[in-house]
Amino acid sequence: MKELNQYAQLVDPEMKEIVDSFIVETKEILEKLDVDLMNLEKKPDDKDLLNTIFRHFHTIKGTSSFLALDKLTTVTHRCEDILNKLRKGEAILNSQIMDSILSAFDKIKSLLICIEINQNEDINVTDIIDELTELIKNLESGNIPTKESTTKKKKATQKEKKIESNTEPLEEPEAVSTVDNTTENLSVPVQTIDEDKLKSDNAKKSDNSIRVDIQRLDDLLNIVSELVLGRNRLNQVNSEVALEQEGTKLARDLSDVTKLIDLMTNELQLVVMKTRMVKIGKVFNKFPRLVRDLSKESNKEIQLEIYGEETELDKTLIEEINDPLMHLIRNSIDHGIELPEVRLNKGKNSQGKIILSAQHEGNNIIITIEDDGKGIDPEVIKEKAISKGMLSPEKAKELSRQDILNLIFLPGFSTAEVVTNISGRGVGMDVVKTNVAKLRGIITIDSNPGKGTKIIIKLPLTLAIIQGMIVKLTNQLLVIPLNSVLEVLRVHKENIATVNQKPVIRMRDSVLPLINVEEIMFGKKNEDNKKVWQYVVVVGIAEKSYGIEVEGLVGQKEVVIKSLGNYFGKIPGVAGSTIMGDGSVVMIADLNELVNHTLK
Amino acid sequence: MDLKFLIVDDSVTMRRIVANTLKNIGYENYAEATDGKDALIKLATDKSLNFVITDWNMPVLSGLELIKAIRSDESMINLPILMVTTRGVKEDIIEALKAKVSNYIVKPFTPAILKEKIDQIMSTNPGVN
Repeated sequence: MKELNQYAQLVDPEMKEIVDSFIVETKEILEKLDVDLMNLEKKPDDKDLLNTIFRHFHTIKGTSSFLALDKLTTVTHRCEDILNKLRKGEAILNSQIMDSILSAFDKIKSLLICIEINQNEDINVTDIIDELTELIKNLESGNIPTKESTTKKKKATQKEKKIESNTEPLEEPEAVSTVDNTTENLSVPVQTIDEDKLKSDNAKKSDNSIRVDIQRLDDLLNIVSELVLGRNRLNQVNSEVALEQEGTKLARDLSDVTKLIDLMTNELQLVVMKTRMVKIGKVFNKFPRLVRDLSKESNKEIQLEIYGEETELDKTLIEEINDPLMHLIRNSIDHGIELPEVRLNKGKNSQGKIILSAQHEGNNIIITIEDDGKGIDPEVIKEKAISKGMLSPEKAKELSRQDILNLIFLPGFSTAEVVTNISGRGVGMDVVKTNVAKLRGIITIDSNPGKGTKIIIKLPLTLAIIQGMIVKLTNQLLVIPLNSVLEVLRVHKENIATVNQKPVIRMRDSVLPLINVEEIMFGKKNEDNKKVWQYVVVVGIAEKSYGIEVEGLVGQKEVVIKSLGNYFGKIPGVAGSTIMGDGSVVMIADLNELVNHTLK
Repeated sequence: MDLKFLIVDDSVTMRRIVANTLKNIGYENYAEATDGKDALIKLATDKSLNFVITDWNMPVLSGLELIKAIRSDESMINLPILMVTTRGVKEDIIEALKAKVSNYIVKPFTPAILKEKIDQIMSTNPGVN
């Protein structure tokens, strides 16, 4: 009977608030634990840190016990016991204890996901509990087990693990089956975070912050968007009144009020935007662990440096950027950084380096992933593309260096000779590219063969209210998101060439495909009245640049993206619409779709 | 008499669980503190608080330090304090009893056990005004 009802509390509406709070809080604790455990590896005898980690496990144990989450309670209880011994100096941290704690940590994560999604604990925890129990027993008897004994044990349980992994929502990291004795002191340095600062930050947080449902913030943003539209309209009315009734008291008063509303709306918008901002550290902090595990797995020595984790961006973007970054880091470890011997032979430091950084640039955030590995040789890429039939040898000659590097973003492209566990599982760079394009971002790749690779991702800070460039088409206006605009050109009719029956222009050393928006949206083509000088807006979408033909340029404006509504459904190439100051509706271009359409 | 509880725990979930359990046994009046230091401030500013339920392991100021601080203040020498602890930490319980905690309760507890502990403290505590 107990078995049946054990998890009833998780779905009991009366308990909903507590269960929700438990999940949110435990997730937060796990994020902190991730950082703290990585720091512990560097400072194994930091008493404060050991106490903090102990408390994290303690809290999860305490709260989960009330929700009858027996498995979670047991695993965290064992961890707590081990940490208790460590903080009291009854045991000394070594890599074997660390590995056990980390596998337990992974298991706790899986359990939490299972609890959140399935409202139960259907995960096998026998192995980890046995491992921890044995460890505790050994620590108590003062007998630190040798590598071999646990290695054997782990090997013995691997089969079981594989069977069980089918039912688990999270990937289980493979047990480390052979650990060289020389790597006793784990030598994977990770970014140090000043703990005192962290602590004081945490203390401040608990005093001065409240937790708000994201839905409320979304609602708030929607209302502010409407207000921005109203403000734009008010500005327009104000300038009309100023023209018609110049010098009257009414015009002056209206102008004053307009200025005030304008200012306040801007402020309000800024504040609301800030409320939705999350530090990118939330994503970055997961990577030290990833790098640690992967470098162990691939026998490479890698140091991860993180800069700018304080940089903030919208919550929705944070969620979307995690996977592409993870993939790029996996790529760097797998394809970029060489094995220590290879590096030494090349006269490099045996330890490879990956630098992950974020910074603001205007209304954009720039994220770079840089490694000092073997780099990407354009010649190899070219040959590979030709051998795979993605490129003809003639065409290959015409491509610029950058164009060749961009070939790695093509679906099905992988330069690694061997497909390893880490990357190269068929979900290549094209997925990264698609994700970045979806977020209206631009991705640039720069590589120096033998020296390393640098990937730069530029993303808008927010998706709801954007700076738009307003351009004129034959008989209507169009908004192009400003963060995608690279430059504006005036091109002579004769400089527009045709390649494969598609118009292109030459800009400096590259050839840009030319997009005619009206042709795509309305299917019409007015070749006859083409002007001698044509305006072309050059835009960047993921890794490529394109030219968009326009009649004229109107200006720059802050625009709010509104959906077209169910009536229209989805129109290709249109991201949404916005309402201008004069009340007219203008479409906002979805450049990513426009381009895909052109390529078809 | 009317009891107004101060629930001291660094975990928001734990505070909710305690508050919910209190509600189940008919006590609706409570305040919350996130650690020992916060608890001392709340106790100093809200004199109507007359029952402390505190966790043991908290940042800034631990449960033990909180109990010691309360007992060293003449005006709170008899304030009922119930310590929430987990199984397997006998040393903690001994230390807490030495520091004159009124009683202790082991996680996870049921509403009935909490009620029993509160009633026990209230029937034996001479200093409750």
